[in-house]
Amino acid sequence: MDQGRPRLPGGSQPVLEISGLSIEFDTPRGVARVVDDVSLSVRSGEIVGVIGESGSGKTLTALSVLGLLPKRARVRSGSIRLAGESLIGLPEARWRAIRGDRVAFIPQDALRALNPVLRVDTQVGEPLHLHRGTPWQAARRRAVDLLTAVHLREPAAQAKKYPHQFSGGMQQRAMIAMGLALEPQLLIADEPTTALDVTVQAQVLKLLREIRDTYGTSILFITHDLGVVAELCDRIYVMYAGAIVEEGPVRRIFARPRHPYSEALLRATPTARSVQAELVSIPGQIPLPSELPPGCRFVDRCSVAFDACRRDPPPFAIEAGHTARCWHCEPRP
Amino acid sequence: MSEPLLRVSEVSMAFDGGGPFWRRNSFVAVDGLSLQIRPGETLGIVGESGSGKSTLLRIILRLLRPTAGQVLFEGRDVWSLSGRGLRDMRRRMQAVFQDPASSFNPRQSVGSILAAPLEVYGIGTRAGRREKVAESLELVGLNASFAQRYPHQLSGGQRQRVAIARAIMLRPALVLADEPTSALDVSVQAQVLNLFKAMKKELGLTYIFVSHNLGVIRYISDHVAVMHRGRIVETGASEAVFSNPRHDYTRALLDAVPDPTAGPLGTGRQGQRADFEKPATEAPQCSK
Repeated sequence: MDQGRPRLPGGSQPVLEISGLSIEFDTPRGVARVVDDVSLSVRSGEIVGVIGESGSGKTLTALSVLGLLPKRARVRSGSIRLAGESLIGLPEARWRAIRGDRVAFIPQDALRALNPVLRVDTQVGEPLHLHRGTPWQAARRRAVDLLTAVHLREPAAQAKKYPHQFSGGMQQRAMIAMGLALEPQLLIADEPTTALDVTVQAQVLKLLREIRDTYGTSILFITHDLGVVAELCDRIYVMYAGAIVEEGPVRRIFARPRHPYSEALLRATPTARSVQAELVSIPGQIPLPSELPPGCRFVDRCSVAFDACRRDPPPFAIEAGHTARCWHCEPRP
Repeated sequence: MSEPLLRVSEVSMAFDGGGPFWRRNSFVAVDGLSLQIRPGETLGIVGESGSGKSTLLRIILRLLRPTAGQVLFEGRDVWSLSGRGLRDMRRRMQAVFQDPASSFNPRQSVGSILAAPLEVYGIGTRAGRREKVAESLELVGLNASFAQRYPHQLSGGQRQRVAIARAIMLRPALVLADEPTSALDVSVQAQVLNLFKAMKKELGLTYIFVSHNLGVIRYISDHVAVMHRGRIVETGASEAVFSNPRHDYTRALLDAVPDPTAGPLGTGRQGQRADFEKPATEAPQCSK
């Protein structure tokens, strides 16, 4: 990674632009809409977080950008554009050219994603061989450079090892090195630190930030952990039961969340850094896609719901770049 | 000061680490560890993976025989017990584990899961047991109709409520919880943590609560023990340890926790973070 990626002109042009995306599953009990009208963008060099609990649709949204949706799922409507190119309905051959080359994926479980019978350098160098036709020997040498870039200790010696000989943090570093091999415009990371200890997690988060600062790589970061989002991201999208309920700059949302769900999530998270007042738990549970209430999908668990909430709220602008889908945020005439 | 309910003294656990017989390796998971807990306290044990916290819990539960040391529960050495004494001890000490799905028999209804401890101890008549099951379900915030359900029909939070109900069926003195909320979503985690707190108040329980999540430990515990490499490196009243950590490892651990209320990484706190390259097991050692 000796020469930096040429920055896109304008700096703020979206690398990724998802608009109006809906994803559905066919189930024995009918169609389940698991992602509903999601619009999201990632600008060049930006780290964007998608935060949500299980069933929020955050992972499916990410997988749709990689063309890796499960077979039973289908995109019902909407568009996904990567640096202007539409990704919906591409043939598999075209997907293979995009994946790894322009978008790389960092999964939660690095050990499961790595091939147990190949040495680390072979795997990290493989994208170069497959996409660029780099001879194997050169690709493995390049792999050592990449492992150096992700601060793996003694990269030359470690490169000859097998994944099971690595600790969890080292495995995740190897995955990140592999992701960087072709200098993609966009890294998609799905809970990459969830399985790691906190001290190792802190190192990996710092590495991701460093990668953005050095190479200008955009990062879409999927997580359920509010703390991680606060550390890493510039902007966030809060997802609940398949829809984005709030979006905005991370500092703003943490200082003053406007959607009752975002606020409840913050107040339900125990913190180690300060005295914790009583945790306010959110009553009930996340509704299944087939059991969504009419109107706002948070209405049944919301402490401030009122009559208007029986209708689906549109995103209301609170200020530039900060919106919340809650009738309480409707501008008063 | 009341007598400790549980006293762990100088307990060690060495596992066989393989190797040829003339040069056998061993891995010391718990290393000469002592702790005690008084009735009504909640002791939080926090540590990273490999710190020995789960091994310690298994030793206390008498699931693992330590290679050295002693566990005294209500004044009696748990390994000296047998027959009736052992049955009594097991009744007075219950556990809640991380994955409630794997700690239930999928073919048993919630009702029979909860009645099982009563049957084992020959408590009550069939009708009386049914009543007790309903009562316990109400206590953990589920209604009595849940007795007819099966584990797969429950959400993660509901399953953990049932696990708590099972643990309190026999009105134990001590409940050990191993990462009981780490498989749950944040909103549900708060419900379950608050349930643990409410149960303690209601039934006068004593808890040992193991977690890697420092926020959870701070919220639930009166006393905290920080484990690192099989030892307790720091212990004390929860607020004291969290607001004024004395050991370098505790400080490194606290500093690595991403916190929604703190600024982003790289704004001054970075310098105090755990060393970038060292794996957790080599995190800063005590400088004293």
